[in-house]
Amino acid sequence: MEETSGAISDGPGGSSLRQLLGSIESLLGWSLGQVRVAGSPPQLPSVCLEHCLKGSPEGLASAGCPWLRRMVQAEEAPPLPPGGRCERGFQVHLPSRGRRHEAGRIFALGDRPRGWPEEPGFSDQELAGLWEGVLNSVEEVVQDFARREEENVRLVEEVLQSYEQLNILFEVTKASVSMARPEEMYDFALDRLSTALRAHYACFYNSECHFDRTIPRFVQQAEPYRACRDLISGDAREAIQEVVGSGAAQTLEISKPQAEQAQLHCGSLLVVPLVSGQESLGAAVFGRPPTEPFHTGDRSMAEAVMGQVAITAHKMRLFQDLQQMSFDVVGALVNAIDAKDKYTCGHSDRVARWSVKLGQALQVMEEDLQMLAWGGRLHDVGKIGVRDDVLGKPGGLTEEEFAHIKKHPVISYEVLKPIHRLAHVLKGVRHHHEAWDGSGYPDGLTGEEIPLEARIIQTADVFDALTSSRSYRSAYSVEKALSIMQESAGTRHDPNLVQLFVQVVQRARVESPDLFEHIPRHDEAPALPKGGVRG
Amino acid sequence: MTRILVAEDDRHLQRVISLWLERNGYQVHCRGDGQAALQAFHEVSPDILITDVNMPEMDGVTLAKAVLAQSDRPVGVIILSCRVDMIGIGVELGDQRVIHHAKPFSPSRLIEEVEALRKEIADQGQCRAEVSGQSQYGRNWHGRNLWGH
Repeated sequence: MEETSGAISDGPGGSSLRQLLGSIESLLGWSLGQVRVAGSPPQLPSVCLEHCLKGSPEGLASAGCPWLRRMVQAEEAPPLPPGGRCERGFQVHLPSRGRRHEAGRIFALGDRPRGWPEEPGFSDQELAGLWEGVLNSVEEVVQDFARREEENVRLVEEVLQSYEQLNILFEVTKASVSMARPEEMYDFALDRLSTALRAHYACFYNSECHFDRTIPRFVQQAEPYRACRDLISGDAREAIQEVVGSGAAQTLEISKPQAEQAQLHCGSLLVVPLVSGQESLGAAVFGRPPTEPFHTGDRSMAEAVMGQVAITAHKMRLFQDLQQMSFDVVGALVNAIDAKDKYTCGHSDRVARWSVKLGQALQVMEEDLQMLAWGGRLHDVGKIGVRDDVLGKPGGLTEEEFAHIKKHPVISYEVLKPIHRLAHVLKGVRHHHEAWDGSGYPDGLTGEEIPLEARIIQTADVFDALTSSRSYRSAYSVEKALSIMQESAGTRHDPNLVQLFVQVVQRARVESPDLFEHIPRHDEAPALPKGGVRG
Repeated sequence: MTRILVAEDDRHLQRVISLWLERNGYQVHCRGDGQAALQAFHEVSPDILITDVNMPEMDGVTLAKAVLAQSDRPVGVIILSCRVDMIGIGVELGDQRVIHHAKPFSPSRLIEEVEALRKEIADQGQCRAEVSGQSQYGRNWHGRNLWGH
């Protein structure tokens, strides 16, 4: 036992096997040796050495055991023929420590079990029969032990798998709260899953089965992205589409020529369709080398995680749709206002864009930029309550007409007030006609009393009004419009904002030339008519 | 081969952890409490200690502190615990080689962390080897930050 015990490690089952063998030894008065077949070069069991080779490896040539001869010659020990038995030993599958189950061999050394009479009067043949019987019993006990050990290892593997699943589900659920776009979710889930599945790469295909995103992990090829694209365009594409259509996760084996054609090292694929309700959102595909095919446990884990991802992604899509729809509804409303007055066509959109640009120059927060965009688009909604004959009147306005048109910021405010989600936009809309010196309307606020968003929208509004044609005058050039605004800085406009806006306009010439397309290069209107600027 | 010492009083969990680490190519030694683990630490001088917190005889935090103080070579520590108050243990001990990992542990993350620690320790070991020839810098490796690593 001493010589070969080194082959038994302290790993799972190792020490317990040693204990079992020790008990048998002390019970029967035998020596039991154990050697692993795997591993090179294999150790020559002391039992064989002593009994079959009579203590000398040189006796090998004359030894009758073909297994021993081959074992010494070859790097790896050959299996025992036949049935894993020889006269004094038997082969047994030892509990696995690595990925593959290792076979090992137990050798027994002893003449007779302890307590047997010294002179039993048995014939050699009878003794051989008894020996055989005892050896059989020992073999049975050890085999049974090894089977239980294998069972234990399988259970441990399942526990590991459950831990992994649990952790990934926790992480994905936690992440889904903070993520806004489905794409972020896909990336996160693919990254976590490919680690847990030991996938060499993972990719996501959208519902039309187009290549979408790839997370290469242990990338061996130079161009993983291309390989993935080739995979989807090759014959595998149909197979993947079929799985996506079925709605249930499946494993696919890519044939060698196909894999070579696509320069793939991953012959085993796990395809997990993303389904939410009746809708297919696409599929996640994980790849491993053909030597490491996916198991049912891998499939269950991927299905559970991608199921969670599908639900979250679906909700995100619905939310995005809803958001888009409100944008579109507002767009329709604004178009209806613009249609009342052909001169103001596109005005609201441009005011929104200039407001956002000015907001960016002021480095306001992302949410505030959104608010400026909405405010810009909606600032003139109140014109719905202004009579068409006043709105489109060429030339100057009477006192009564001017008083009528001045109502529109308040009407805008009243129209938008019931919309809960636009609460932050209201101030900007109501006060976009206030003046820095307090001469504006509707509330006659002065200076910084006027909310910043209102001053921003006003600056953008006046600039666009000046550079657009109106029923009562033609459009001014950019330079003229800016100089008019600079003249009234401090009286009508916030002087700091006007100064900043001049820079914003200069920058926009490069960044957004389309904002200038409708503006004349030279002045067509020589003078500002009475009544000031009507934004 | 990277040697890992596992201190965990739950026999089943000890087995799960050791099998998983062996699968990933590490040499694993297991002990059932802090006292036994500290003794084993000096016998097998592991590169990384993975320890539970609540254990008989000696708890995991005491063990971690003892190991960090007594070891004459770089060692990484992973505190494996279900206790929420252990989350900031690395910061508390003021050592970047101490990582907290929540139970139930994530097998794949555990391997990632073991690998990260192994690399860190290898770097430190190299740093120590470079410096050991210069007796005027007779510090132990704990002072590594002082020479800019």
